[in-house]
Amino acid sequence: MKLRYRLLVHFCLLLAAVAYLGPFLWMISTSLKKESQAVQMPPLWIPHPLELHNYVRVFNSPAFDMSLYARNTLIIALLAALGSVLSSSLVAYSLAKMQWRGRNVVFGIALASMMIPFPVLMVPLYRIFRQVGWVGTSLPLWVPAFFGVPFFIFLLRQFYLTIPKELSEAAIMDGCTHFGIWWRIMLPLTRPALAVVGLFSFMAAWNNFLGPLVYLTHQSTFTLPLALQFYQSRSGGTTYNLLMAASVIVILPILIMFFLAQKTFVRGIATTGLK
Amino acid sequence: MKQQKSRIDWRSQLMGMLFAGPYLVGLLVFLLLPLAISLYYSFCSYNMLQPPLWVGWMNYRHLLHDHVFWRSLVNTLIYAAISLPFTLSLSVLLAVLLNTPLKSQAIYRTIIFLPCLVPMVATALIWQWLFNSDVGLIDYALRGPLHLAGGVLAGLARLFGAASSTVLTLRNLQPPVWLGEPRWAMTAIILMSFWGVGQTVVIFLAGLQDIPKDLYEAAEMDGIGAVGRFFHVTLPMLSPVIFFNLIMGIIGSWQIFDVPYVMTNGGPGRSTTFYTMYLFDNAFTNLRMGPASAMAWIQLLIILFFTAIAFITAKKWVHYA
Amino acid sequence: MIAAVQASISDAGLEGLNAVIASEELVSNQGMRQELAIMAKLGSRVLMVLLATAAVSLLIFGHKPTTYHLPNGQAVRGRTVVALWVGWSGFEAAAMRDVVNKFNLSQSRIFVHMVSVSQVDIKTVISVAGGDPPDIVELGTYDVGSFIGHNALTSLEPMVHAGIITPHTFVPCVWKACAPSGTLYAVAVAANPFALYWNKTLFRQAGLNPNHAPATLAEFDTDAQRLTIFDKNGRLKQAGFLPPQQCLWGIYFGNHIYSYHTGHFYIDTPRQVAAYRWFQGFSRRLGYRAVTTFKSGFGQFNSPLNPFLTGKVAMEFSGPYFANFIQHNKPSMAGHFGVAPFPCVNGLSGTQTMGDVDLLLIPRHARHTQAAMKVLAFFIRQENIEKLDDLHCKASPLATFSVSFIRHNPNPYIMVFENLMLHSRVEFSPPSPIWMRVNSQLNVMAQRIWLGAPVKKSLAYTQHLVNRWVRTSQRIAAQRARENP
Repeated sequence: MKLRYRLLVHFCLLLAAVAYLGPFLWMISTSLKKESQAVQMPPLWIPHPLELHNYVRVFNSPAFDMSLYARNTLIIALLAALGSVLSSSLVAYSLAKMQWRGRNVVFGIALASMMIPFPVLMVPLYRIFRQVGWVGTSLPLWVPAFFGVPFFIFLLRQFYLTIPKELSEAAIMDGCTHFGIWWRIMLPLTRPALAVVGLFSFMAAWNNFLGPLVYLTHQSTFTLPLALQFYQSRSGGTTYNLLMAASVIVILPILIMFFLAQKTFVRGIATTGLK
Repeated sequence: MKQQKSRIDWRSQLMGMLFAGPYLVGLLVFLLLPLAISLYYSFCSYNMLQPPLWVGWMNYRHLLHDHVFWRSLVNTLIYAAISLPFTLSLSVLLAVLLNTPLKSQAIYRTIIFLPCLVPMVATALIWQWLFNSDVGLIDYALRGPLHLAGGVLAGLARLFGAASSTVLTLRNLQPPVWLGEPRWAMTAIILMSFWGVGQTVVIFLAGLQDIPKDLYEAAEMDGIGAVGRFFHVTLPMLSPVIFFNLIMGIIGSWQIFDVPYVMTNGGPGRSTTFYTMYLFDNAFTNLRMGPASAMAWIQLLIILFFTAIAFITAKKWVHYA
Repeated sequence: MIAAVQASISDAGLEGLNAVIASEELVSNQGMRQELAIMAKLGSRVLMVLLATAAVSLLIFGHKPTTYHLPNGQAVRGRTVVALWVGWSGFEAAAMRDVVNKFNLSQSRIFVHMVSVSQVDIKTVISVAGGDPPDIVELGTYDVGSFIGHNALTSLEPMVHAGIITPHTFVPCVWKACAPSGTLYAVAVAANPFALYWNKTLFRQAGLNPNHAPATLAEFDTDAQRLTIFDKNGRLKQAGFLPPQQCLWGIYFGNHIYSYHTGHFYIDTPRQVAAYRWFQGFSRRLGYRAVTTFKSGFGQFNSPLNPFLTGKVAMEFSGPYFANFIQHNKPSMAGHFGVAPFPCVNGLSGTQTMGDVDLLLIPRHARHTQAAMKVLAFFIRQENIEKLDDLHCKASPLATFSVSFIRHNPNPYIMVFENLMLHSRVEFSPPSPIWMRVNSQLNVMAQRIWLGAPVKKSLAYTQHLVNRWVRTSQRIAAQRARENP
């Protein structure tokens, strides 16, 4: 490739990298400043001295029990991930590999329902969960994941379709049940895809704000995004150093997850040994 | 023989439905039932504490006269109409750049993908801070260039004999009060949406990798330049992916809630009140479940309408291999 | 159409995703059988890990022992637990906790579990609608009307019948806020009439008499202007006064915004026009851009960077608690600020002011209504209210107050506020069922007016809107009454 072109691409990407990374750096920088330094002009990129105490203050703030909220969020996100992986793959297997009447209709409805955003169903769902006494608990945030998520069903179905028919036919010949095929063949074969489903639904649950805002009424059940917004509404003004410290705390686990998961994907592909 | 066959069919029918069971139940409980309930409530006055009271078309009729409803609708449409084309073009551009084989490719990809991992609430807080109009980074960065540009423009204006007040305004050119002025608050939210294109870029990247190399080679043989190759090979081959992202974008823009709720709370003067925000306000701050349900149904119909339009026009510009 | 969705999505997104994530073909026919056994093992291992995580999280999640402890460390057993939500935080919450502890130790049947909740109003609405409300909640007058309108409160009439509360327990205007339609729905624990705070040092610097507060609005405006300073770049350096947008300024012009009798709102009266012209005047004189930029440099309200404490704003409009914030965050300012009733327009008889009351309410469907009423009865005893209000630095809502209350109150100007409560017309948020919507519309209107919208037209428009809301709400209430008598 021409050097001139490569230089141009490099330049553009460098510019983009600055624009995309800048807010992160500014957030970290602000989180390490004193309040007076945070509002200082011209802006200070590397604060001196480093005000690590901000993080201690956030952690010890009476309105912001970080470890509790982190645990709440983690539990919800894990359960949601597990639920979506299990239910979606089971349903996807049925839609892709089993012969029954009406499965195409069900698949069509699943596709169409992807177009219905949560806000549309917010009120009636709230009413239903109220009926069973779930408002105020985290149940509405992860139980539905155990009933199949259309997007993931769709994704996994595409994966299952690529698996040759002969495989499951051979297994049936060997006396394997459908459940056996799903559990012993399909799940292991599609681990990378399951990992994707798990990661996506984990992230969606971790970042969810509207759901917890509506369903979680007790502060002891709050999730991190909700707690972050409450922290903001309570502190107000320009205590951005503390707000940014809180944001860093909320973002950090998901970033770590991402970097770890990157490796899991790679390993997942490597261990299948099917090249 | 025949009997046996139908028996087996029946069995696999049952097994299939059993496996799909979770979703069939979910479909009923978490989709069809809510839709039905919501439709009923949209014709009621209902606050969850007293039994619903049938009011006929009143909720819909009142929404037609509700300026906040229209404002939130228009705001959402404006956002979608401006943000979607820009984010889509930006994503395609970034994807093409990131598809160029470079040593540092992986780092760039990670950097551009990172922002979409950040919870929207945190994103909103970060940008609220960046857009701060006295000590914000963006304000600071713009001040110098604007001062310079203002000086030059003022000089030009005087040269062409403009009124002294115009000259003065130009000389004092300052960055906007981003979140304090109606127009600029919306602009800020749209600008912010460019930060979260990572996911779209990834999808485009995948699309790019699916384009057969020989198409480019053939085009190069025909003497078509890089720009021409982009418009005649890349874009048409990418059009299904663009279409997919367009649909996702349309649906997504109707869900915008976190950012304006945290950053501007819909203000100043309703300039950033999005559709979902007003729906939430009706439902959970004013307990007006009737109008909220009516809004939900209107939203559903609008999304269907736009998706249908996208599909109808898709035949003209989406190229399936 | 569904087929088309399928085609487009499968063509585009997901196959793309596959490519990115797996970037190789997942399954090929060759060597499949041999690999199967190994993979089955691996796959189930992954699933086992997932299941184990879920089991562990369920274990953590499932068992959440809720044992409460008395302040003396003793575990609470066999008591009715009354959940109390308060919007206060920091030292205000701590003060309430003192009173709660006192109650918990005073008897052995009920335990009050107090939680400090941010955005307590929204959280309460959602929890009441969700059927899982707290037993007692602390709110301002802002929410009362709509809560009553939604039938979301428990009537406190049993307390009246038991003689615990009489119409003479509270100052008359507070009683009206607790029982807007005659039925008691709330009890008051603190009163916050708004007044004018001025910075004596800045008054002196501007050549004004530091010991004389402006007595009329005209005088106030002149003073505010003399206290406003721009730097040489045209940026605001010091503001005399910045009128908050969420205030019913009409009060200071003699307007009564709400009719308790008809439920009607008076928004576009000549007095309102005058009030909002006055309000817009500040934006005109200072420039809204200058003000927004100026404001974005302000620190948190309850911090040493509060603009009044840093001398950026010379006059502030606030409740009695502000004196406490001042002494808390900048003790050196003691004696260098003054407090007086906020001036009214010329020709009004007596003073009028805006205010708020801290109320305790029992939501409908609360689990322990009886116990909650016992708790309320304890909270509104004079010694407990005075203890709380001394710690909060607020005025007492009770009709009588003790000498020791005044002596112990950290607010040196507490008598200014007590006098306002006793002798002037203090207006709270109207107890209208649609007040939240009206108020949010008024706020938006004020924002627009601040940004330069024509006053008369804006008011007329809002009046027109609000009239329609009132009509609809009354019609539905009537229809409801007919169908469910």
